[in-house]
Amino acid sequence: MPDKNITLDQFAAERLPATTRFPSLAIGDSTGLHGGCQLSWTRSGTRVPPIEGVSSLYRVLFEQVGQQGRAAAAKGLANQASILDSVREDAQSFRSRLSAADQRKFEEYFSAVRDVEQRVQARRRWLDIPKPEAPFPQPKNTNMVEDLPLIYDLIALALQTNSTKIATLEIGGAFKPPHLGIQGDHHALSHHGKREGHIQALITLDTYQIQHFARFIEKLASINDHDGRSLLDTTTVLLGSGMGDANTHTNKNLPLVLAGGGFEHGSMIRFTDDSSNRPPLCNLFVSILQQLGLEVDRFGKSTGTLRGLA
Amino acid sequence: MRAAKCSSWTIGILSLLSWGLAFAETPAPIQKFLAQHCTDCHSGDEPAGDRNFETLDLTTNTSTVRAALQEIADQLELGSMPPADGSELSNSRRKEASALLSKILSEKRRTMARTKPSATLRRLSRREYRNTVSELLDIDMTMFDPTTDFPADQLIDGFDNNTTALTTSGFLLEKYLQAADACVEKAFANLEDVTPIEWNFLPPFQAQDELQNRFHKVYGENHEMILYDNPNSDPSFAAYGVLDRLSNGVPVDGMYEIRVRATALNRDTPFATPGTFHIDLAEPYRLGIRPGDTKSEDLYHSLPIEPLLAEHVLVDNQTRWYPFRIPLSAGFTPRFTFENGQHDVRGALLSRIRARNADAVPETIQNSPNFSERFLWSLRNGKIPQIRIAEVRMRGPLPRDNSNQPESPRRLLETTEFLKTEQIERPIAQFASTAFRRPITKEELAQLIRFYDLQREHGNSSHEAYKATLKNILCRPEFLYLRSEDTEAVPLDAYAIAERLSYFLSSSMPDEELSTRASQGRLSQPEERAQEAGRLLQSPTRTRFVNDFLDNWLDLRSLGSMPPDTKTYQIYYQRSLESAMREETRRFFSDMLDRNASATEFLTATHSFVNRGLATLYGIDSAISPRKANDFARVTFTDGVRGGLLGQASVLTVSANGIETSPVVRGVWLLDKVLGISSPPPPADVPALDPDVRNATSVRDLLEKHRSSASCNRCHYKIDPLGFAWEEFDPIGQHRRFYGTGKHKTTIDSSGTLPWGDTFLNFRQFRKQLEAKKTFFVRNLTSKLLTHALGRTLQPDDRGAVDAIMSAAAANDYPIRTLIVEIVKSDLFLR
Repeated sequence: MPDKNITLDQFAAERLPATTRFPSLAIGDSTGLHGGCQLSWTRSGTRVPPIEGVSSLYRVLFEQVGQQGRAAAAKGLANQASILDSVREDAQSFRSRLSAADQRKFEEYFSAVRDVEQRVQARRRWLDIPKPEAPFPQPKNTNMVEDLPLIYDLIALALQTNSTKIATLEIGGAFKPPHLGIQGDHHALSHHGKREGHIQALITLDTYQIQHFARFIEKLASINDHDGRSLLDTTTVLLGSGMGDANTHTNKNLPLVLAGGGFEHGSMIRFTDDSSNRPPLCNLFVSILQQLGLEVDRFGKSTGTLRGLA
Repeated sequence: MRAAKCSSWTIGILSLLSWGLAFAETPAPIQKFLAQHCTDCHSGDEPAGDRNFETLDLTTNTSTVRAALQEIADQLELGSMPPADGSELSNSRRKEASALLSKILSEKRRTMARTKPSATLRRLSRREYRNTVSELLDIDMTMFDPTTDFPADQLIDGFDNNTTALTTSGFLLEKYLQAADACVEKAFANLEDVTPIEWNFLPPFQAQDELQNRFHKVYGENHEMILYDNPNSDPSFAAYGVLDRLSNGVPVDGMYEIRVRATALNRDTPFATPGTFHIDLAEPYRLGIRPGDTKSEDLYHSLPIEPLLAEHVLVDNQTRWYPFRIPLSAGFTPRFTFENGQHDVRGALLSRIRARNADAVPETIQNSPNFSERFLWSLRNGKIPQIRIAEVRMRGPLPRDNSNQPESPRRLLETTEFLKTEQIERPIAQFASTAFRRPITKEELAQLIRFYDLQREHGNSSHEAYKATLKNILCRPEFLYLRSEDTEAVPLDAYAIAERLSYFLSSSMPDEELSTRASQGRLSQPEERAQEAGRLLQSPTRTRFVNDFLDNWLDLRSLGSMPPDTKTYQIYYQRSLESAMREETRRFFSDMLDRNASATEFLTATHSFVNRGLATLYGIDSAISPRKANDFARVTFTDGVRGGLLGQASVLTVSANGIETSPVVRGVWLLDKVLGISSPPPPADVPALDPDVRNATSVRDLLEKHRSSASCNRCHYKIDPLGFAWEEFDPIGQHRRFYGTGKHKTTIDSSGTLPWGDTFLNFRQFRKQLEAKKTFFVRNLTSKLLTHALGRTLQPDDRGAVDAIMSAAAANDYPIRTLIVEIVKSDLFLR
């Protein structure tokens, strides 16, 4: 695959004009099951480090930097810029000593330098532009169950204030059932072995998550974006799970909900096991990218856009 | 759980080889052998396992042909081909053919053209970076980790140092810039000598928010520090004792002396049963100290960085002073812990006390609708096992002892204050040479001086400019990347060899001795490398090799990434088994290195190393004294189950998902990690297994059904039986005879037939059968060690070197240190 395993969010972030303070926000756990959040990957195969917890997310979005802090930050960025300048120039002689194969590998370093140079530039630009006004005082982290609505609210605010155009959220290992009054842990419950109690507990957990997702959608619908359209009309929202059935541990037939973005909604598009020519999930991603106005006709293993979606 | 791909038999590393070569003149005996025993299935348009031996031109010397011949030889030696329903093959014929193949192979390898090197440029992995900056700048990393925000390194076959996966991205480079800044600033901040400060802490002590009021009611406003829970409890309940008046932590990095006046109470509680407090009251209490970063929001709960710094065993019911001496980083505060305290009890206290002794609880309390009232009664009357701390005295930082490190990097930093411009060259050159792990070139020095001058021109002081230059050095490719073979013709120089040796055997930059040898050019001879390898394997830095290699080979780093069910496997948390399991395997390997024991001991040993937690898990808790519960001791097992690698809880746990066991997953694990046989992934359209614990369908029955499909069976007959043997162990490695409990209880059948036809009735017999395949194990271990050493995936044509290393170490059944030394002596090590 020409784009390796770059994820949808980073793929889109690369292509959208850089008009926001953050090209994208990745929110999730940095540790936990399978080593934490796996939703966001760069083109070179690096996992984008996630923002963890509601309090950090709040600080990222709204914490104003005082004059002293700005001066220190400006100095730090200037130092970074001068180091980047110097290593970019000097790395040429390092490169010239490498074998041809190693030189190809070393291209990663140069593109990383260019990438960070752009980021540093963007940061310097944004440094003097105050962040949007904080809507409420900084929240404390409690736990992922109780904090979930607040995280959704902050994502809505991030979109509303145009702090970013892209956000991903992984509800992972930090989402602990005891905080919903359920004994056991999520992973254990998901391997339910058809035990009735486990399945009931999972229904409770999933219901809670879906309710807050629905609340998030409603919130986006209630916010006016521009041209009389709501934020939901201009934002595509995708909810899903990496498991079609955790008990059989299959990643086929994934449950997915698509909302907003100006698609025609209100129906279930079903691709069952026996339907022939089942499309890969990447087709949906191509549809989403096109809806964002990007001239893209393939992504990952796509074979086209998703049929049945208008 | 999914079925593995039903394609073929495979050995070692296999790409999908297309063997569309012309049929030509073939060494006659082998050609005849193949025709007789193999080509019935391995021919035609759809050859078994995608391997067509009819079209294989054995007269040519391509890597494809060599890989095929090697594979055939291995299959014959292992005994898994021809299959049971195939042609009859006597043992002597088998040996004959195998020997002949080996001969042809070694001739082909002798005359083969050397392959063009693929990319070998490798950047430091996260752990290598961490170790290197620690040594380079002399920073204590107990409480400081500049790499926590680094994007995680990706693994290839479990290895975190494979060049293919070690990519560089903007996200990472940005972190390098920040880490360089943090490390250099920290190194300089530590240079100042600070007069020791003395602190004295007396009641009242602050408790965690939700307990503070209740503690006031029960123990009075002026209460002592009170500890109930062990630090693994989640959420914790009086698990961390905090010095609330040390709210900014200690001012500078250093060693601190701490004296604690503490009492152990209620080890004789009348409410003690295993279920009441989830504590082992046979053990005297252990008071520990774990650091807490005062910048974090809540010091009363578990934090990302909180290693156990020291602990004391307490005397019951007597108030005594206990002295500690611990390192603390600036901004950190000591937190006191009840290391073997109760586990996860919290709100359920009253019901547990009542369950033990209903009469002890007055009816008014039992029937009280008021939670708080019931809770307070439990705290007052529950005789909860606890540690009380009445006073803490603290002094530090203690004077530093630098006497044993006359040439430490610290000195290099110390000498550079107030330097004149012309004097700056020497320290920059020295620091860069250490950082680059070779003498800096004139050109490079000129580049750095140019940068330094630029900093000065921008109005920075010489001190600032010098620091900026050091930060710059830490972001340069010469620091971030390990040396590779420059071109085919030019062999690695002594510095590059030193670097390779030290990253292999100490996961960090070369130490002084090794650098000196490199500067004298004394590493190109095999014996010179052998000597250094021997030295490194006896140095304290060996711990890093042990830990990192086991993480890479056995995936021990993933222990805990699939947390065992907190309800079913409470012992795992109560006894801190995650770290104990890791420690067992590390000690086992370390001890083998000490004795230069045969590598086959991994399979054959009857001993291992356990602390009391593991002893309990293994059902031999009497082997470890409760007074020394946290010490590891060597124990010999007579049950035929434990001892050696295959009975260790670490590997049994990491091959399960924390909830249930899968013979498929464990079978694949054993084939790969023990025998070096990789299994292809399952094809896309296999029927999934749908576990159902409600009826008597065992996972074995489900798999039997699965294997009744011939295409599935082609892989699963190899995979499943190994997993069946391990079904005797639950997801945290406890030995078991049954699945489930009560009416769902079924007996476990751990018998099976191995791919090469041997049968076993249970795990004990399985172990014996594996011992017979010890050459496969040793070859696999050698390959994994080489992968670790070279930082790349081994290619089929590396096999000759692997075999040569093995035969050089064959005397005395492959002593482990000898194997490692033979690796560094080999030519492959330099490529």
